[in-house]
Amino acid sequence: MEKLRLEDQGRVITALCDGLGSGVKAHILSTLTSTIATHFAASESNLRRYAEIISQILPECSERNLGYSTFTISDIDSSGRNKLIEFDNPSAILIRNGRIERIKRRKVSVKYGKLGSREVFQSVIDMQRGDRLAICSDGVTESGRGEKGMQWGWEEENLAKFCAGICSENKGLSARQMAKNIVEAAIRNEGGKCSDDATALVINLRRPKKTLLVTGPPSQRKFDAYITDRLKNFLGTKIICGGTTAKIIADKLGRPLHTHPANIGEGLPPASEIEGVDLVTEGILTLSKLEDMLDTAGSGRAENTPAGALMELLLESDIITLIVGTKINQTHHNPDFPIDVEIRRNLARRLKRVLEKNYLKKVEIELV
Amino acid sequence: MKKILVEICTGTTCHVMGSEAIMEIRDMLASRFKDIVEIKATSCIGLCRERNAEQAPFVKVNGRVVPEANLLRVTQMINEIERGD
Ligand code: FES
Repeated sequence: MEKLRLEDQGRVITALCDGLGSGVKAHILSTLTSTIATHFAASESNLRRYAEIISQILPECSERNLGYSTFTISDIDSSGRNKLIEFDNPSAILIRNGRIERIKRRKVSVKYGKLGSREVFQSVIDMQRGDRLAICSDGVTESGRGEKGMQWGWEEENLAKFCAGICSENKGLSARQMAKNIVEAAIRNEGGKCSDDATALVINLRRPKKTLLVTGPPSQRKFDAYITDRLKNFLGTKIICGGTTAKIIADKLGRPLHTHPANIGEGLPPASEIEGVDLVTEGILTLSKLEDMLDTAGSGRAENTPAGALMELLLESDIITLIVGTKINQTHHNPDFPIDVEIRRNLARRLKRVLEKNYLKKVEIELV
Repeated sequence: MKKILVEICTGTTCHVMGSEAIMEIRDMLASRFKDIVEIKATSCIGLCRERNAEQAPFVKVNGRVVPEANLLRVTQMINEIERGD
């Protein structure tokens, strides 16, 4: 799976590729395919030509003369127009207002080496706000194959019904949650263990969700009121990372700050609570852990720690503002424990990088 | 019997210096303390920044600071307070 955001053109390109077989080779080749596919899509606008070239240049198995990898590429612009190209993956599923919406596809035969030709489906979907488009690998549609009542596995039709079901059940279902639900259902079909790779990619068209994260006390006392106001008046998810910062804001707001002893035993300082703030955690250690998790976990299982909760909130948002306080922490002068304001600043920078690069978030850093 | 309040600092410095382990005190107290000792977590209480203060982790027992706190030292302080020293 690969995602690419072209900021200047307002386009987001995503590709889901499924390599032949499984294991390392399949993984490398599907990664290669999705990378080539997204980057090529970015530079080509003629749909047909693009489908043709893509299916020709993709890596191919030398023994079997078969494409190593299937692919579905979605190229969506800021007006919601989605150019979709599908090759050998299960059909993408469009859910509008909780119902399955038919996608008009055009079959295109593309000349292709010794094999003659292959068939690629192309379509242009004008996506509307609230629409969800689910693209899955055959590991999902074929899950449960041979199980009772599922001779051919789950099948596209049932998958589509399942998608419509979860979307009408929960109007606010995010793309991430939906993808997770689909894969979890596939795993359930298999009785808890997948025999093939099951991948789901979901696109949801909606207004961006915003999050404000405040970390570190401001350089000067007079900015305490400023960060408090910013947080108080912010429309969106509000997060504080840092005990001292939390205390400053709680005092200014005149609200109690309560730390949970119960959450201890996780290797991280526990979370706290301030009324009106969605999440309050410790600072440096939690943010470092978050960076680790973002780096390695991908869309993996969220940990049940303050860092896990933090990751969950950030991945559910699109535009993230980090307000980073730059007060020199006097702990610094304690030679046994050299914490530096630089640590916080660098952490913020690295978080911005990984959130933008791996998760296509927009991140702004403001130093106070 | 008078209540005894144990506040364990869970701020960054104290956490790094091992305050998490002190939470276990809940399970280690003699049974006569079970009802009178209240254990709370706090965020940084500021002592780690004082240049001449002693070493983290810090625990407060009824307001009295236990520096370089560990299970033993905190238990001792609870005993002392119970005896009324
Ligand atoms: S972290 Fe415990 S006193 Fe500062």
